Amino acid sequence: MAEFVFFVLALVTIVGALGTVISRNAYASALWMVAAFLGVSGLFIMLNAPFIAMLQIIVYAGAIAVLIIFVMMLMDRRVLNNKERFNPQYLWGVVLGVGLLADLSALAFKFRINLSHIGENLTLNGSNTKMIGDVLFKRYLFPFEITAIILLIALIGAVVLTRKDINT
Amino acid sequence: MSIVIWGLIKFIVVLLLISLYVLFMTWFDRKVLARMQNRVGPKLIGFHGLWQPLADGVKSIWKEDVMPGKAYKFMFWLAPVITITTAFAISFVIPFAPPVKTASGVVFHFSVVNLNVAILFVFAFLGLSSYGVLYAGISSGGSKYPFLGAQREGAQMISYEIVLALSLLNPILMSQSLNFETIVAAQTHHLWYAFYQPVAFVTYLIAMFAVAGKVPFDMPEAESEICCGYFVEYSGLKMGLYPFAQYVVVLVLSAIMVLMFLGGWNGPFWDGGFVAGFIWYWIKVAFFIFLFTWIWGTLPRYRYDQLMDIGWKILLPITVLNIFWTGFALTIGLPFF
Repeated sequence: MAEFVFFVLALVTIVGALGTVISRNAYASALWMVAAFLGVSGLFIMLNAPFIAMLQIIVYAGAIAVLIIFVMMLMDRRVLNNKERFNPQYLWGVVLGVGLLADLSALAFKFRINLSHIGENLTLNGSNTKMIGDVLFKRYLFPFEITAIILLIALIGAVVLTRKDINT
Repeated sequence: MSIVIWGLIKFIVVLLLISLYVLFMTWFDRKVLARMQNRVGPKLIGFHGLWQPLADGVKSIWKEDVMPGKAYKFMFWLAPVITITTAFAISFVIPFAPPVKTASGVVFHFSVVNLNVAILFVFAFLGLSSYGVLYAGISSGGSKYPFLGAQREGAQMISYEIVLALSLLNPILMSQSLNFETIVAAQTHHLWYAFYQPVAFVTYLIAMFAVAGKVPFDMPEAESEICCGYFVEYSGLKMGLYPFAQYVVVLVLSAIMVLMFLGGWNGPFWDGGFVAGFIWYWIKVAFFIFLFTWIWGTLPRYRYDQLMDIGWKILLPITVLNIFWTGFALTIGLPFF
């Protein structure tokens, strides 16, 4: 049962990721990406991390992917349909992807992943949400605040860079 | 294994009950709106037109299914499915009655799954539900009104979901839980959170209408501006799925309002026991469902820029300040917190 759920989730994730890259239609591509996010969040639940699983859907599938689609909707439909599928720098992507794949397979081979343990945590009730809060806001408060400020700087930077009527 | 079987039974029961509720709600909406506009409303089929929704349903099944020539076929078919799936998914974490302790000491929950992260689950699937509308607009093959409606939905959903989440953060902070039943239990022995958090209560109330896409914030489907917006190109049963999902979302948002702010199944008097809790809970939920219809028949629609101004310039700063205040009050331990 648990293995079956795991393989379904893995299939959703991998097919979604492949669909994101392969699909010719940019909108379909975005939808495949959401499917991949859903699969990943399912995997998080199987790892007994329901909080992170929910954040994965809220932040990535619910907000970021919607923004991506929103930007595509503002572009010209004809431009979007006639776009070249590969930009000249695709070789770097290939190198990175193959390298990552080799790295992960080497790790999997080295640590001998035991397939009999997959999907042992099929409940959503392991409540580590409180623990995450405690660790983030008590032990690692300072790094957490620094991260927040870095994100704020990036946000303001984006606004400043894209606004044309600012004279500094 | 019994968990799986019980889950399946609850799943089917909730599915059927909510479908029945939606059928009844279409009749109720039309009756209330008719009364407000001094009309009679549906009256011919059955007792005061009670079987009208069934007749409408049968009619919409036999209608011709039109698809625009330039539509993206698969996405056009998928968009209503996404909408209805996510709407039902949210309803599965909502408790429909107070939990019951059985004789053997096991607590029986009246929700399909009793999650510890239920509120996050609701936000997650509310966010996903905007895909159904976005893709309805995109896949309609460059048709203009659906496209406009979908863009509006995207912007409105992103803006108001933030307000919704930040308003609900106050009860979460006070009860230190993300589980609906725990939050209701935290309101049992003192006042409901609406009295501690009047500002969050009001901001949630406003954001609720925007997230459900109901009047006065029904921008994505504004009939008189963009003639029903995102589902212009849909027909038959596929078109029917959009209002269907909207009714489910209305029920869910009303239930969350009651659970988070109005003490769930606690009443002002005649408290305790399953029956009392059940009745109090559904009285309160029914009031908010009625409120949606009431405001539909009363208020005009806001302009689109007004909607954005209200969301970002008024509600968002207020909710953020309110969270600061709640945190402050909880930290220094004010007598009422």
